[in-house]
Amino acid sequence: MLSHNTIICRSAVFLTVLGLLMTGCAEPDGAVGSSVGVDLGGRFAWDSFHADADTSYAAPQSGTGGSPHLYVGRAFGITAEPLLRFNKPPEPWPIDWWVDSARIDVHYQGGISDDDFPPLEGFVIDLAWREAEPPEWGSLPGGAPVEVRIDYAQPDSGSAAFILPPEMVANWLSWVDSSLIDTSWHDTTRADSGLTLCIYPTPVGCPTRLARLRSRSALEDSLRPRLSVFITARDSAGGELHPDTLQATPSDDLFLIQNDETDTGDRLVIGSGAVFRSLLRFDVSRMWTLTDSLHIVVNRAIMTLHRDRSPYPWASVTRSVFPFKLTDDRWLTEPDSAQIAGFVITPTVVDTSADSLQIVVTGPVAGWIADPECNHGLALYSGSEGLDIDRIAFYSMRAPEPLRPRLTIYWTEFPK
Amino acid sequence: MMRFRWMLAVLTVALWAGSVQGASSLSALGFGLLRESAGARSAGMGFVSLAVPDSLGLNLLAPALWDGPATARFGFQGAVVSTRTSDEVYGSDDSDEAGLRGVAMALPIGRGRFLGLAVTPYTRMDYEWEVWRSTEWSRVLERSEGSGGVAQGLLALATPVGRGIRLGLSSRAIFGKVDRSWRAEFPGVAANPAEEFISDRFKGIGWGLSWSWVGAAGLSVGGCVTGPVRMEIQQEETIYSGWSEQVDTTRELDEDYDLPWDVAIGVSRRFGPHLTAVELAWHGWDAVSHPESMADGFTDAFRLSAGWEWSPEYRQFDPFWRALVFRGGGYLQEHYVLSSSGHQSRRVAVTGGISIPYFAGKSRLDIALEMGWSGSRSQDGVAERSLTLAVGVNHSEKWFVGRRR
Repeated sequence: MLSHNTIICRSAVFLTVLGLLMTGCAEPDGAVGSSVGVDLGGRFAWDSFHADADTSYAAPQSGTGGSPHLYVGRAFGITAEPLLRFNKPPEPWPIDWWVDSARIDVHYQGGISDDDFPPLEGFVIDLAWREAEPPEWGSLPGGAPVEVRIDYAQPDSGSAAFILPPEMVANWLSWVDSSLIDTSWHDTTRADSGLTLCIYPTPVGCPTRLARLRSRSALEDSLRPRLSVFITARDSAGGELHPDTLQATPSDDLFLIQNDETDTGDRLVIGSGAVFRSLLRFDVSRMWTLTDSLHIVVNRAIMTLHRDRSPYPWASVTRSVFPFKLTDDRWLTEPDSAQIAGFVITPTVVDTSADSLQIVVTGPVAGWIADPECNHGLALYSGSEGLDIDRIAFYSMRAPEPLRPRLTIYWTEFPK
Repeated sequence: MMRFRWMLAVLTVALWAGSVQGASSLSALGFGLLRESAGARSAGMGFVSLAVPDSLGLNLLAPALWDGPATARFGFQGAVVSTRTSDEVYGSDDSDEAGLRGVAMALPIGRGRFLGLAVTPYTRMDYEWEVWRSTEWSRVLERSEGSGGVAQGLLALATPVGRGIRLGLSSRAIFGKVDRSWRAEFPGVAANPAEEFISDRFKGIGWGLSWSWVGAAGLSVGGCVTGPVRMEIQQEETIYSGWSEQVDTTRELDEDYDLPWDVAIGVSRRFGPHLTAVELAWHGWDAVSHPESMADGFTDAFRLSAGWEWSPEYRQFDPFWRALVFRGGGYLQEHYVLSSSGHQSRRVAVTGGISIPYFAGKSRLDIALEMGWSGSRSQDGVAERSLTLAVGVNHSEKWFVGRRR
């Protein structure tokens, strides 16, 4: 039988351990039990602000690589000329070969404006370039012209073939071929190891149309540009001659743009292809007055732009817009000198049926509230810049009141 | 030796556990009910303790009562508190807390003298809740959390000063930290949450004086006076935007957060196995300036307690239940903070308890139960009911009893 002392000792230990365990099972007070918060917490507020400076400008023409399309033609002040570059078709190569013929096939579908497909000219040029370092407009050298055959499968889609001189292709392949017995021959005058085709709309009598060619990024492999070299070959010394075909898709392709109509009037224009960018700055000085007595946490900031649908009826509507912070105020006098700083954002998708666009700009606005010196405004870029030709226009600060750009800030304030 | 190691281990573990003091919705800023804790024995007797001699337990309010054989004393108590609070705005909610309510240790340093150390929680806060609101542009989920509290440490000397008269001198250190946060989130919307986090660190030092007189015919009188404590509060405020720290400031609060004078007196009389006691305490909160953030003010608060104890005589081999000691009591306590209606609420409680002596009376296990009712919805806008179970262990060791040559 246990003694009193043993019972008590064990009970005391049990109760102590139980109490410690129950410490972990505590249920804290709720809103009723605590009745606290009288001196803690913020107050929600919001306000709207108008722009005190805005403008648009046409960015210097730039080539567009990585695009799913290559535009060619001349319309609405825009001239487009695609470039395609091919590397030597991949090995294995036969031991002996002769070029019988060669061609580059491109496919097209649709375009901008309803005019006819433009007649084209093709030139093979020797130019060292890549999509990441596009050549400037007007810097292309002269080259060897090639025959162009355009096949119309349907009125708005079809293919074009550029027939390449066999001798030119053979020279090019020999220059890069390391399988020939005589390796002493080497053309040191070539600037690039690739073969570049430049396509131009004809200078005279060109319809007002920007045709859309499929690029090397086309989803269907059969629609991508393709170099085909038809050869007679021998696979071994003394072997039988037989025909063969070597093919390659472009290693790089892009289209150069020249824009002759850069005036945006009193609108804010954003576009790609012939690039347009908009810059605007909002007067948020009222917020800085609040920071004297309050800590401000910006919860959300929305910039609202109202669409002006009247200009550019011919263009595709820009599908997305990127906002960037501007780093200084030089753009106020020289818009095309605007310098941007990236901030982590996702593009704002444009609802083409809506009359306004709302862009979340919480990050930059929070920075302006914290440091007024940082308020240099925002730059708006097309999300497809370098990939397509599109436009979207908005009313500027010079428009009637309801249509002006507006910045709405929602914040939580805490007394200091 | 084994018993000592066991007690030391439990005490060490207990010191790491959180302390508990049932937070009350009738207090502002989470200061809690500020209930003094004199021990689990006192908790079963309506919180009378000043005139209740105890040769084993360590009274956490009145060190003058540290008396008895020259043995080292250890004591700690824990409690479980379950509270239901209801008000006119939010409805009701339940909370549960468990943890320590005090630890103490005293060593004999001479004939009838003891030097000891005690730590007790003074206030405690533990809340967590969220509520949905609507703004002009979004729904908002507000989360509020708070934890922490203020503890009191006593370094005390108890000494006899005359026939039946004992005096207790104590220095009192107040220390603690309270963390509170408020966060606003906007679910479903790409928006930065806002959060305010405030951490208050408290420190202060004061003094206490207690006395007791045990006279003939079982009559005892005792009292204590606690001096005011000037609190220094360092407040750190941090404001977050999303997960980024936007503001971080630390400042010394210059508001007068003093703890006030406390005066209490008690009388008890023993009639054979029965002991009855009454006690009156006064807390001078009216002289303390309340923080600007408090809409209501402090006010003086009284407590009137009455208790009873029945101690049987038992022999070593008597059945277990013959050694139990039974207690009962009750108290009426005014709240030190006025309600939003300007009314001073009251708390009424009934208590009961038992003691189980062991180790031939050198140790004691106390268990107390309290049911309390605070405030009223009609007069104060909020009412609270609570149930508290307190358990205390008091142990003594013969470390300093010399051997006769």
